[in-house]
Amino acid sequence: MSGLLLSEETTETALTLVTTLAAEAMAEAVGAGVTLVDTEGRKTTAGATSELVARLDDLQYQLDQGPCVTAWSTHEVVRIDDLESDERWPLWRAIALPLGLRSTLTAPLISRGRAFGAVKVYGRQPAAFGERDERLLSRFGDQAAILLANLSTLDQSERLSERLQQALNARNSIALASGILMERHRLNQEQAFLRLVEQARTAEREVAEEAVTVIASTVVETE
Amino acid sequence: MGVSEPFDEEQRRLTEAYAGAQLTVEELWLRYFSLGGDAGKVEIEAYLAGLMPLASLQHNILAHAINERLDELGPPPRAPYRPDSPPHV
Repeated sequence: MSGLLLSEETTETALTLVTTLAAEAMAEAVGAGVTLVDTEGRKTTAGATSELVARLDDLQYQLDQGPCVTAWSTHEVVRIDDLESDERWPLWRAIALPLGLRSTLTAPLISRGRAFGAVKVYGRQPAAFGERDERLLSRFGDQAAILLANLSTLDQSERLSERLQQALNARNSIALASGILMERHRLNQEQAFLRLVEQARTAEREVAEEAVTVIASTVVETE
Repeated sequence: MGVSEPFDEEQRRLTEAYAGAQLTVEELWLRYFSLGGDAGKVEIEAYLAGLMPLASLQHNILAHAINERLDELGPPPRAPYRPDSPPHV
């Protein structure tokens, strides 16, 4: 996996951006992080947004059980609605529950058919995450996977963090705006992108700016 | 989603436009990723070299990444004219 040949700093920068965006996108999330698994099966946490995340993750690796370990090994999204009544990972649960954890959502990181980790959010309330969050987190997982697989030779200047932040923000806005246009005008994804390009050209904006305008237009409509 | 022929007209013209964009493949890829592109850098490089097809949506996202860059650069410089020859020459 080329991603694991990245410098630690670049990996941490990219993943912290992804996890911060993930945590911000989900109101109930108290923390987010990424589990990376190397070719020998060793697991480490990167981009943890809080100490709690790092602790809960380390526990999973030591016990070799928990939602992230399962998401990684099964390639599937794993959700805990209430840890109090969920007995799938008894050893981990026994320690995680007293730490105040009630809900989790984990999506595998998959590149070219191979899982090389998982991205997760943690919540202190039961039923903190739903189906919408599953789709959202899967998207963040895909982003993290694409970034890790392709960042290796990007120049590691001090501006990298800023550029990645902009890239992820723009990408998210465009995905959201495309979805809005698809629904509003009954378009497929390809048509929606061309429509966004056309609107941007007419308004003399960049596509990312136009996407923000499209998103803002729905706020006005629904309120 | 349609897949382009590897050496089709759009691919050729996109590659020509890329030559004027003054971007490394990495920089182009990051711009393409920002716009929602899903293909990896290796695939983009192969497409630019005419070695691999690319789905229409991905081609269009890549094309737009190049076009936004060309917009930033503005029109290419034109050849300058010299002012009138100094009278004493």
